[in-house]
Amino acid sequence: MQKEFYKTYPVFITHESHNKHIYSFTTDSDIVYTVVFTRANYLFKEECTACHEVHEISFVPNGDKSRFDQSIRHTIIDLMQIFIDKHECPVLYVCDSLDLRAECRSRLFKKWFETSRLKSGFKYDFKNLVFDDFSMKVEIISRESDQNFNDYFQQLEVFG
Amino acid sequence: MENKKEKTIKVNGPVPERIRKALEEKRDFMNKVQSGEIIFEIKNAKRVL
Repeated sequence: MQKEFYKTYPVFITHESHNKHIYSFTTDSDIVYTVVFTRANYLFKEECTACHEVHEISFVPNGDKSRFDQSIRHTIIDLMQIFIDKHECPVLYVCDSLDLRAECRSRLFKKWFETSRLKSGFKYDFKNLVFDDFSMKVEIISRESDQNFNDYFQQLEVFG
Repeated sequence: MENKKEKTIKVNGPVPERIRKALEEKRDFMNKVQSGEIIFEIKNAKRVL
């Protein structure tokens, strides 16, 4: 099997506040990717103090010019690792049924984790939440040492 | 192999309004970033990776 060449793009922090951290990078094809980390408090019960630090990741290319490039995955995965280590927090990814690309992106995110360097030293889990009118997939990645990891799903607000 | 049944949880009722609103706000923001309506300037920004 041919070994995958591991290349990442230079990443810059372009906005930082208490609730929002935004990073940007430019690919070899001149596509600018924006990666956003926001607090995911809206998903958890307010009394869960450990959940206050959970951040949600979202990312988009500018325009509709996205094209296959392994280095995009490598860059986002490495950025996620840096973010988790710097802020000592889990990172969560949400796909919902209102986004037509949700299932595709969800599979992509899972595959990214399973084939990445994050697999060593990190934990991954997900749940599919199906409501009467809506469905969403919640995926969480955290350090293996995170003692609260098994509590996050139990502390989702939808479980009252 | 993952047990898909264990991973899928049926929640009675509609999605809570707080969650729906937050997801819609997130999508709206990301769409504005993608369309170029909101731009973050890389020039002079600090490199982290």
